[in-house]
Amino acid sequence: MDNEIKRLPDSELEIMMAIWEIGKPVTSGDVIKNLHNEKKWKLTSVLTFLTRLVNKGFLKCEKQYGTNIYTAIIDEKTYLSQENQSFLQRFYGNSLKAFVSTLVENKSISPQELEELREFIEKANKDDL
Amino acid sequence: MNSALYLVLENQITVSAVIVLILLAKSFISNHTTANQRIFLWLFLAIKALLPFKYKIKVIVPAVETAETTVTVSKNPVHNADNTFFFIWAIVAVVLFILFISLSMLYRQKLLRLSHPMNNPAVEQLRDDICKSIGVTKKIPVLYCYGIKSPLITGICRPLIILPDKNTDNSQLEWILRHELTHYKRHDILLKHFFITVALISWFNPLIWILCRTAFRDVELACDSATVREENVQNRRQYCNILLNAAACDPNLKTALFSSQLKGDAKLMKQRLSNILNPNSKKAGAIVLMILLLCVTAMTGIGAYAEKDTSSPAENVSSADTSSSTDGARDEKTDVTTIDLGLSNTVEVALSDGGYAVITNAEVNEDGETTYITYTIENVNGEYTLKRSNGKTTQTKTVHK
Repeated sequence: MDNEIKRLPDSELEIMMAIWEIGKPVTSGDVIKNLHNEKKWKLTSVLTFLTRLVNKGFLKCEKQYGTNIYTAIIDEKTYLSQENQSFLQRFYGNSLKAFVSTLVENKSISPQELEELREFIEKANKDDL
Repeated sequence: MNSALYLVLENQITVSAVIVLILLAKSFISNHTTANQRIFLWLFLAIKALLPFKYKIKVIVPAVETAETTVTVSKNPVHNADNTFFFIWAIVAVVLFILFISLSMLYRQKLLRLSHPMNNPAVEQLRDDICKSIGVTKKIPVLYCYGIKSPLITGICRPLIILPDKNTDNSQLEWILRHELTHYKRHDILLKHFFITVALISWFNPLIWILCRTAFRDVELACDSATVREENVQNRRQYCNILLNAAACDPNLKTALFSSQLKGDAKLMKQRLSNILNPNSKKAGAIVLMILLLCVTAMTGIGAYAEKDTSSPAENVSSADTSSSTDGARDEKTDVTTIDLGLSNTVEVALSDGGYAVITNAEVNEDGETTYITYTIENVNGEYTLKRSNGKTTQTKTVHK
């Protein structure tokens, strides 16, 4: 099912980053240990976030020997490449795009232009330096 | 006009004129100088835009105080339109600055939140080897982030290299790390921040923004050159292809403002490739650069203008030869009006608009009685008013420019 993946708020994203970094099914304890730097969340908060993530379809929760084991269902690459579009817009906002675009030349290169450039590289090396 | 404002505007105009001339000569300059050489030019202009210097050298001799003459000089606060302009400029500059700094910080925070440490000993070894060969002592962490599309280095104090993928093949990785570490070695991020600072301060001047953007381009070109400096044709070609690979990705994250990234549009890319593949085409570059710098210096006037502050008493008063006229005579060369008060000394005072000077002279008459005569000289909008008072009566005379 290809639903549009919802954008996560920062706290839940932190949890997912920790889980993705570990790379295998985790307990809530594992998550807490693996959070970046200064995050000092209480266990209850972390459990809340984990539950929300399960409800949003990011994690799968199974009980194993009395503890909850969480597995990531949506993978990091998929999520972040989608989040990226809104990150750009969120980050700069439309009003700053003009400002940034005068300093940043980031128009993408079309496949045709790429081909021409690759040919250019090949040709430019007929003579040795 | 407020002399400070005048100085700044005049400076901006001269620097802008130079930028326009350089833009007109753009292809000549590009063909005869390397990017690295041009960076010096941009840096020179940027610094000049920040610091107004003038041609004239004016030295004021320390005051020789006579027994009868004391001078106090003070400056009235001037309430006119110039202050408004100053405040507008200052407020916008401060706001832009705060925006810039907070965006930089937010950007870094966000990037870090979406990144993972590489934790790969092979990668760290490669980084260490490259650092050793190019002379970088700092151990720069390498991270990866699926949220960016091409590798970058970011941060001045705590630099980080961030790759778009966990697994890159070794040959590509080596070039990528070399490029980013070369940026670090050349202090490119610091340089870019400096140019942005100058542009923010000169926010009203679009030519400075153009200077900034041109400088950014040359910084990237110079880094490319430095990265492949010792390399043969084949390696350069390999490097070029890696640049194209990075550019092929859809550029989503506009991060080039705060960091240095491997990317660009087609025309810039062709410039870069050309620069990498044909490095020896600019032999006369250093000479051209010197000539350019000389011209720019001449045009913008780098002489030191040493004028003492009008607010400290007795420091900016000098004695000079008596001048002949009783009215003020304007000295075109040093921009000073000389007023002869008919005293034994001629007092030369630098008065800015709105300033005034008070000179007290003790006159002893035949009976030995001392009268104190006060001369007040006021500068209102370039017109000097001279008042002479003996305590009982005051005479006023206006001295025109």
